[in-house]
Amino acid sequence: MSYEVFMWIVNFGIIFDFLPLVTLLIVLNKVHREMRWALFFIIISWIISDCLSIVLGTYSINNIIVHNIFNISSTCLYLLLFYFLEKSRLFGLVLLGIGIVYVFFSISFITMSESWFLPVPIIEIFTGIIPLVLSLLFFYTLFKSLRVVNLLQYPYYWINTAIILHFGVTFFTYIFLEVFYLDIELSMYLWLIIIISNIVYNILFTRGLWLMKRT
Amino acid sequence: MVNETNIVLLVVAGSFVVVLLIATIVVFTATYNKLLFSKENELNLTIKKQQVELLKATIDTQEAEREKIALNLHDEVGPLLSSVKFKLAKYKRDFNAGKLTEDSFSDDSAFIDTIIQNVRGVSHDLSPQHVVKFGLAKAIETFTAGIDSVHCMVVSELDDEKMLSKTMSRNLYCIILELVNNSIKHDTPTWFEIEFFIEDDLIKIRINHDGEGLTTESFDTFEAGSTGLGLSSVKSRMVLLNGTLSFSKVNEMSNTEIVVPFA
Repeated sequence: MSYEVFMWIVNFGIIFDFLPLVTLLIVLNKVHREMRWALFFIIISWIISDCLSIVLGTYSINNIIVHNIFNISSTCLYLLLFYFLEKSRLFGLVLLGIGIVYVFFSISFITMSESWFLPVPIIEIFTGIIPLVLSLLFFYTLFKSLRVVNLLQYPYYWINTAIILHFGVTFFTYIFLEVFYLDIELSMYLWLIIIISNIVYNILFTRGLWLMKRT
Repeated sequence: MVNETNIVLLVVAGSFVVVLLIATIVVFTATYNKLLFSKENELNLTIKKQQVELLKATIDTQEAEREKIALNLHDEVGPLLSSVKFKLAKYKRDFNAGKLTEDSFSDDSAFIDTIIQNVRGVSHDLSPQHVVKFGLAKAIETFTAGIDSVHCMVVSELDDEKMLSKTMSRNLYCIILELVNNSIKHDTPTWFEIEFFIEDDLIKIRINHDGEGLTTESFDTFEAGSTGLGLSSVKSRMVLLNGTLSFSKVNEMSNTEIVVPFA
């Protein structure tokens, strides 16, 4: 695959980042105030990270630092999202604990290993596994309570599906990160998988947000 | 060569992970819907059972009412009317014998009053019209005013009784009457207090007295062992009103609470 084709796919993928934002703005008054902000910051941080990465990448400036910062902030935002979904005091405290440990560990590890400008597989794995586990946990609680009558019309079912698919795929790719990263073409394939999963994530996320219009 | 092998490995492993994730979500969705469907079926079955129970309760209550009226007519009005018949026959004989005087009719007015009162009682049992006319609390007040042996007090927060349907008022009236009569008969209280109040969408009626009283468990045992129709009629009416009936005892005071939703 040529570098031009790869860049075209990257640029095409960025368009999909704006779909959730536009949809959220359309359904804004239908979303609960706290949830509105959590979703807004998740979407905005996603767009900023992708746009900055592309701009820096175009001028051949190392953009991994953007990726690392985005990882830390997005994980915290997902923790917030899941807290608003369940809203139990104990669950909130557990999420707060996970958040503090994750942020402290990530910043310390990256700083100590001087890896702000390098991909850090262990952090990537944690970044993927936290939302993944929380999504699976959310599905489990749904399953236990059977509180949703029509699952396919439930907004958070689609948002959760988006998170599971995206973070499942990225979690898998980051396991291979160290092996493939030194090979330019292989790393391109690796990023291609992530970009495709980004597009799927944005489509499913948009579907979830769109369903909020009916609530 | 190594590079191509790695690409193939990456594609195969990646596809496997994606398929696995999608399969997980699909299985979750299918199982969820299946479970929901079976739960819905279970719920429908429960609703049907409840409907049958409600129907049974309605029929039982109607039967109980009919039996009560039949009993009243047979045991009270019937003998009195028979007495009137015998009296009339006696008057005829006395008249033929020339023994009929004005004194012969002296007790008859009181006797006829007793019959009228009994017929009125049966009519009240059949349909307590004064409940609809004057309201539940007023009707209960009138009823308690007629009790001489126990001091009764009625406290009502029901400002506008129009919100109570006729059926609800009549049923509540019958329930309260039955409970109060039962308490007077078995608990030997010296005073009674009947409170009516509204909380959210619920109408609550509390009957307090200083008699022996019951607990909810003892009421169930008592009702199960009882051959009379009164308590089962109370239970049936509660089912009809979708309400709850509970008994408790706090500081030597017996409480009976009736909670019924407006809707």
